[in-house]
Amino acid sequence: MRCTKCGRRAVINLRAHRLALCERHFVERFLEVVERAIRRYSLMSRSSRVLVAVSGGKDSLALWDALTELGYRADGLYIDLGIRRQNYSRISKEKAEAFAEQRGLRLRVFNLKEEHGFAVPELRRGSREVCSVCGIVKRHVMNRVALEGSYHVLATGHNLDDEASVLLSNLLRWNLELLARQGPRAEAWHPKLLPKVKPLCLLTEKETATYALVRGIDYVYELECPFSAGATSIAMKEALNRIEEHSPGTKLYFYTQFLRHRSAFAGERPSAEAVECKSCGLPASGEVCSFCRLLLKSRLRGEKGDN
Amino acid sequence: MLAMLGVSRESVVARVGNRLVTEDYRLRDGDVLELIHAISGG
Repeated sequence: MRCTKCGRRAVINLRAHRLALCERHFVERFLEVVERAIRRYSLMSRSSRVLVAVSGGKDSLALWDALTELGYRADGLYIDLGIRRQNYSRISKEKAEAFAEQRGLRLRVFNLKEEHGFAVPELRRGSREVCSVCGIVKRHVMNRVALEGSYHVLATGHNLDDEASVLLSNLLRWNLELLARQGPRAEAWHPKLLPKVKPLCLLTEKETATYALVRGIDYVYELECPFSAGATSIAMKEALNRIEEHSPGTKLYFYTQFLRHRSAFAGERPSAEAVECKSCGLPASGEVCSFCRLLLKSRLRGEKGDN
Repeated sequence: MLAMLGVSRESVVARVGNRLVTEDYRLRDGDVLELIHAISGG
């Protein structure tokens, strides 16, 4: 297959766009689409100080690389969740650190065990599943580090497949509250919260993987989070890819048309009250935030275990 | 070939040696095809 633009050997066939592209034209287009998402959904400005949440995987490292290439001021944040199975956290951290070092970028590392005495696998005991616990931890730490570092916006590597699969999942359950909240930019509803943005939301997972490989980004591709096996999101993604295989462009249309019409769900969003957690001072929906509740429960379990 | 393996072309990136290839690539003697899974979950 030849590049539609220059006739050189193509590295990717974008069936949704009827485009085959060589390395050079693919990278050019990838950066254009990131910039288009940033402008279309008002994700950040040129003067924004951006903190990119990096996991060592393709999406977050591709995002950090693209933002830097586009001239945005972006630092990285790696959260060491303490997942020892398959050396997952250690290997992921090494990839993130190597990426930052090679490019002279600033990477902040937050070690959960060192800061709070618990790793994610230890926090999960109880009724909550590990992915849910991990989400609470990451949201809390990302916001805290971004706030303390005086950043303007938090960027995550969520791509079109992530967004479309969450949308499908929310629709299948008719979860109107989550539908009202979904989008490429989550506004800060409290002065101690930062806006969260998803600049890769118009690019597929295959495109971010291709970008990472073409750009020579050494990411964790031989390893998945050991707790993600059987995740619902993977089943949703596979279902969407089967549809995409038959009707190229469906994922993009599904998501972008949702964004055009999502105001229909606006009334389903509960008004958030400005309450601050009694323990950490960050915004909470009750007296104590979800993160501090998790820590408290783990400490109580530890004390019981000691006796 | 991907269809025979039950793999969607939307979920993998194919590499032969150090070259990324599109789905029409014809394997030659000595080629080693690496399928890089692009889908992550969690």
